[in-house]
Amino acid sequence: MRRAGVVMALAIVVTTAASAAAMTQSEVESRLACQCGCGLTVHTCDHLQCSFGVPVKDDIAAALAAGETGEAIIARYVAEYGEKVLSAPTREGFNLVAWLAPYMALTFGAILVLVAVRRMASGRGSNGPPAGEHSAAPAAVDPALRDRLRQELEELDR
Amino acid sequence: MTTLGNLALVLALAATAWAVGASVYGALRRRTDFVASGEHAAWAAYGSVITATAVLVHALVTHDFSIKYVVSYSSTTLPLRYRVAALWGGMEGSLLFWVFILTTLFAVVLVQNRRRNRELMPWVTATVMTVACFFLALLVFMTPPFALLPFAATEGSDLNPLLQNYWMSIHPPSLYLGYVSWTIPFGFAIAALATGSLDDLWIRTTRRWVLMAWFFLSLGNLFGARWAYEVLGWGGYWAWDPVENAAFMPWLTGTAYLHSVMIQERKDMLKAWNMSLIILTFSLTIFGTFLTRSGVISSVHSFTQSGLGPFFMGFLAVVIAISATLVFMRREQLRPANQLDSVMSRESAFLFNNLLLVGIAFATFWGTIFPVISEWVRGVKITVGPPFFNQVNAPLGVALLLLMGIGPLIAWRRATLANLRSAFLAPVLFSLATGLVAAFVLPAVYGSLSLSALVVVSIAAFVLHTIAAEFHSGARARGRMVGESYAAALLNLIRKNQRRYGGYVVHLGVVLIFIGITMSSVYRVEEMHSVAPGQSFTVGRYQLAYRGIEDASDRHMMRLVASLAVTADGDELGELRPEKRFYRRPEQPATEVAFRSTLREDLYVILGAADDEQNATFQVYVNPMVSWLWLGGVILVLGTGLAIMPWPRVSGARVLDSTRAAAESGKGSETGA
Repeated sequence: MRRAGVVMALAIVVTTAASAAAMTQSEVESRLACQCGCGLTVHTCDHLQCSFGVPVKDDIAAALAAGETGEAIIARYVAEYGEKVLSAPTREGFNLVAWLAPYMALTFGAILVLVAVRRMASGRGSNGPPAGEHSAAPAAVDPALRDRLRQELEELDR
Repeated sequence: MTTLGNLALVLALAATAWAVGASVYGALRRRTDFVASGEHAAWAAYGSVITATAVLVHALVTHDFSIKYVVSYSSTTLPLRYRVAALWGGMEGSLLFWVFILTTLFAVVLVQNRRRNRELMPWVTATVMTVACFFLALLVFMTPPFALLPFAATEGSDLNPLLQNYWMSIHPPSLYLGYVSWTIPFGFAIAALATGSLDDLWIRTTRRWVLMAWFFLSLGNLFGARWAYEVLGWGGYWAWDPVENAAFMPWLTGTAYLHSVMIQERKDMLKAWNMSLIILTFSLTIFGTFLTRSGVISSVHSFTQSGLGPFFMGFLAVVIAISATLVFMRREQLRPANQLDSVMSRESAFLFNNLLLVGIAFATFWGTIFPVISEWVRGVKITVGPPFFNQVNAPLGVALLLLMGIGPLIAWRRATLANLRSAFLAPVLFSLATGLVAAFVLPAVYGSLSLSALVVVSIAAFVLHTIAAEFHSGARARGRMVGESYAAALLNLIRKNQRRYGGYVVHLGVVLIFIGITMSSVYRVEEMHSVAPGQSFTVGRYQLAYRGIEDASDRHMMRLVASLAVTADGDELGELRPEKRFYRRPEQPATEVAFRSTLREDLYVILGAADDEQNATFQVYVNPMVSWLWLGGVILVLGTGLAIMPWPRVSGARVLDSTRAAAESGKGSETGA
């Protein structure tokens, strides 16, 4: 469990570090949510005369050309519009819950599945016959028939 | 006519309420007369709902502008097909359409089960009619579709221009059929819990219903994606919009159920899990309806928002509470009757498949509701947009794709390291070889190598090899055992094991969908060009010659249609005609894209702006392999059809012998993929 937590934290640190490198125009646009109601990012909004997306794209291009960093541009928009202008939650504070919860749920689910599979394989928690009884059932089969079946199954598996 | 419509709705509400009461009383007291009365009431409700629906459609078609709904969603200039489609274009009509589908499906259930499942049927009737009763109560008390205006209008406001598209005629009905059909398996699941008949009877009875629900939900999602691709402003084929997510989540849990139910059929295990998946899937369909209509979460599909959210949430809470209580009460009977033969088996692989599917559903649910949670907890509005869903779900999706290839390679019941080695060798080698080729081909074609594309293509090759091997080895073995030609053996193999091989065809479709999504996301080219008539420009390998704009206005809308001649590598590829529209009622602009689609790529052109001198601005995209997504969708639909379709049985003792032998091996049973 602890190992899984470390892996998840590491994954988040790595992605955050990667995003801190010099950003291209499309990367900055992708980090901003279009405010025209389309629900898309500034980069993917395909409203041609979008009152939000078009000027923001121009502004980003000009700011990057003037030497402003991607992070600085994004911070400027957050200061103006609030956190809702970010296309995805930040990876800090309460927002971290958004990123971690799916992986935590998945890890928890994986543990549950592993435990369940082991329990079911050992016969615990079932209403059925114990393992020995269950696996002894085919004893009555004619050995010659079983050999033929085995041969045919191997053919099928090949 | 409106009086008739209102009366029909009130009668339907009363009939469903009676059906619920009579069925429950009849079941508890073992009174067959009350059970029969409940079923008769369900028929009466169906008749009344048909009447109400017919009255509303008639009003829409004949422009009865005394009715508020007709004024809000139609006009005299609206073409007939959209006037009919306006039935599901607004809140009240869509709720009525929902009940219409539900009561129609239940009528089929009543016919099918007039002599079968008599112990289960009163509870099925009670459950399905409770759902119908809820929707009818909303229609009668909250959003009456036949509400009259103080005075009749002379003209309607028209259907939202974005909805005036031929997909409007088929996407919502498919999606609604998908949503509503899950009520039938849910009804049988509740009936099984109520009666304690928790063997596989309810599962066998609902097998085709589940496949049908999944089929229509898949179709609904695909149609929606295609519609969004063709309409500007809806973000391409998928934008992780809350309403899109609402349709995707039950599809995921339904897919999980389709897989895990095979274990219950084969080994009488996972009863509680399967029950939970059905309840979850049905609950998600109600949650989807809540999302579409509540306005709690902002969505591009905002044309059916209302104040009905609390009612849907209340109903959902009741559904979950009752279902959970029943599952808890029956927990002893829901324990598995058997055990797994080995941890290393296909059964275990199915459980991990379920984990991933439910995991993606949870991640999607979480991302969809997190803005609301953030606002509650911090008082801060945030956006959870496509980057979140892509980053969280893409790795899970790829893992699922991989598992789709791994599953069939692991034997049912028990796998050994030796047979795993031999089963995995060929597909892994094929996958590596394909990856190697892709590592050279992708940069040569697209100018760069994307790791995501390389990984997906390699895994896709692995899965494709697995699927092909399943068909090939099955046909070869059958041919040898039964003495049939390869083609006859392949055909009979599929006919004898429709669900298994239909499932593999579906997997093939899913692989193509993955490839289409990956390639079109990673290697998309996007350019904007402003040109005068007679000028040309180049995008990728295409040359586009702009000819000019023609006015194709009619009394319904103003239309400016641009004409572009397309050539590539010296070959003439025809004409593209993107449009700018301006609807007269409501006065609203719209843009019709034009695209040329091939298996290699789509050339996708949008007319941005045009001035009086016909100088125009075009936004042009080259979307690689996006048509693989649609082709995959078609194959997925065909595969599901193959699994559902009642084919004539193959006869002959030798065939039976071979099938039995194959079934013993876990290779030829009907419960395969």
